[in-house]
Amino acid sequence: MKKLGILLILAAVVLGFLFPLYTGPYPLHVMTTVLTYMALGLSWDMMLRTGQLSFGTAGFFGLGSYAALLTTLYLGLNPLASIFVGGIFSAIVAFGLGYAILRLREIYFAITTLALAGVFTVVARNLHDFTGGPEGKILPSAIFNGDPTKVYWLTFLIALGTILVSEIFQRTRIRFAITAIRNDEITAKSSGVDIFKYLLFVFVITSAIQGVVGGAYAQQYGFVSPESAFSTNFLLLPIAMCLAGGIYSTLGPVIGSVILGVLSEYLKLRFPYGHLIVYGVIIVAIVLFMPHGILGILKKMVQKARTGVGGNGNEK
Amino acid sequence: MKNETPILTVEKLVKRFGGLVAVDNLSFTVQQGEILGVIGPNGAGKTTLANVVSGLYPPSEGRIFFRGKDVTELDAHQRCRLGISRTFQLMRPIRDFTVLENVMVSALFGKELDLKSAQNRAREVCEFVGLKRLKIPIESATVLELKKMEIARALASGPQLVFLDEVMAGLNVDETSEMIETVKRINASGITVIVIEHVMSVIKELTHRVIVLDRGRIIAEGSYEEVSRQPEVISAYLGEEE
Repeated sequence: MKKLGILLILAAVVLGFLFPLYTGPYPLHVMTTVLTYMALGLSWDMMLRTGQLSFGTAGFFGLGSYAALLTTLYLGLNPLASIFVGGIFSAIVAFGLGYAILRLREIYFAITTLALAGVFTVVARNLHDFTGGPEGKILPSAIFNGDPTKVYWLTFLIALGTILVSEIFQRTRIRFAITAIRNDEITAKSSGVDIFKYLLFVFVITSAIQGVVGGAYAQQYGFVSPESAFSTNFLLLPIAMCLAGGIYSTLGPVIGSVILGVLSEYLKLRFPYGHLIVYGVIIVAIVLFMPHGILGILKKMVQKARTGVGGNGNEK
Repeated sequence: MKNETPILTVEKLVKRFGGLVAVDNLSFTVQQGEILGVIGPNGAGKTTLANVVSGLYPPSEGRIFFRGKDVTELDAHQRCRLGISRTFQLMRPIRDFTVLENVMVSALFGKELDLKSAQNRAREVCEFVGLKRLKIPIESATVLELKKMEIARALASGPQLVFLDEVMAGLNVDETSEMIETVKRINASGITVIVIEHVMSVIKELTHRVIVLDRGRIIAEGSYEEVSRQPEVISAYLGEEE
C-alpha cells in the first residue's frame, strides 16, 4: 500500500514535470494558474492547521510581487533571485506583524490580517515615485522572456516546494504542536507547547511562501499594480479551493485547486456569460454538502472499500 | 527529609477575578515525595489554585517557588518543562488525535524528546496507567480511558510534581480503587502528588497530609484524621448553603 502511494506520487511529479511536452500553450497557462493557487491554498491551510484563520494571503502575495519586481527594476536583480527576495521580504514583514498580532485570536486575528492587503494597497497606490502609484510598474521584459514552458516549470517547482513544506508540517513534531494548539490551547501549553513560538513560526513560513508565489507571479507578467497584486482573488480562490478539496491536509488543497481551477476554465468556455455564477454555486454546493471536502468523500469511500472501522490515516 | 527545600512553596498567593477573590492570601509548602490532599466545598478555590500554580493564570499577588526557584513569572509551558504538570477536572483531550498521540504531545514538548523516543515514552506511560487501546480516536474512548489519558499526559512530560484535579469524579467503585492504586504507584516512582478531590474516602486512603480550603483560604491543615475532626471543616462542608 505504501509502495503504491510512493509510486503514484512519483508518477504525478513526473507527469506534472513533463506536462509542457504534450500540451499547447493554453492548457499550460491554465495549469500555471492552478499551481499558483495550489501553493497559495496550501500555505493558507498550513496556517489554518494552527487554528488561526488568516486573511493575509493576498497581502503577502502582493508584498512579494512588489518586492520582486522593484528589486529587479531598481537594482537590476536577476528575476529568479528577486523571487526569493519577495519571499524574504514577506517573511520579515510577517515576523514583525506576527509578533504584534499573534496574541489576537479568532475573528480579531482574521480581521487584522484582512486589513493587510487594504493597507498595502493604499501604500502602493500613494508611493507614486517608488511603486508607480495606481498604474504600477512594468519591467522591460517578463521572466524567461515570457517562455510559457519555463514559467510553468518555475511555478511547478514552487508548488512542489510548498507541498514538501506542507508534508514536513504533517510528518514532524510540528504537526503535534499545531494540532494541539488548534484543538485546545490550554492543553497545548500545559503539555509544554510554546504556543506563541509555533504560531509565529508558521505565520512567517506561510507568508514567505505567499511572497515567493507573488514574486513569481509578478515576474511572469513583468508587471505589478496595486489592483493586480493585492487582488482578493488571491485570497478567496485559494480558500475556496481548500474548502472544496478538504482542509488540514496536503492532498485536500492540491485536489481542490486542480478541480476548481480546471472547472473554472471549462465553465468560462461553456458559459462565456455568467460562468462566475455557476462557479460560485458549485463552490457553495461543495462546501454545503461535503463538509470535509472532496478528500473527505474519497477517504470515506476507501474506508468503506476496506470494510469495517479502518484507521484514520495514522500509520506508524 | 525535613531540612530539604520544599518542592513547592506558595507565598501569600492571591487570585482575584474582578471583585471575586478566588484564592485569598494562601501560603503553604509541599514536601518532596508526599501526597497532599486539597479539599473544600465547591468554589473554595481548589482548581484556581491548580491553575495559578501550573501557570495558566498569573496570580494577582504572591509568589510561587518550585524547588527553590521563583517560577511566578514563567509561562505554563515553561513550568511544564521544569516539572510541574497537571490533569484537568473537565477533561481536555485533543480531539483530532488518538489516545497515544495525545500523550505524545507532552512527551514531545514537555520532556522535549524526538518523535521516536516520544512515542516510546508515551507507550510506557500508557502502560503504567493501564491504557490498552492506544490507537483509538478520542470519540471512542470511555470516561475511564480519558481519565487515564489525562494522567498519562501529565506523566509523559516527566514531572516532579503532579496536580490531579478530581481524577476520581464519575468513576465507579472498582475504577476508583484502580485509580487509587495508580496514584500510589505514581507517588512510589518518586513524583510528588497534589490531589484535589471531593471523595473523602479517597483523600483518607491516599494522602499524607490535607489542606482544607474554604472561600480561598486555608481553614485547616494536617493529617486526614486531624482535619476531619475540626469543627470549621465540618461546618464548611455541612453548613454550605449554595
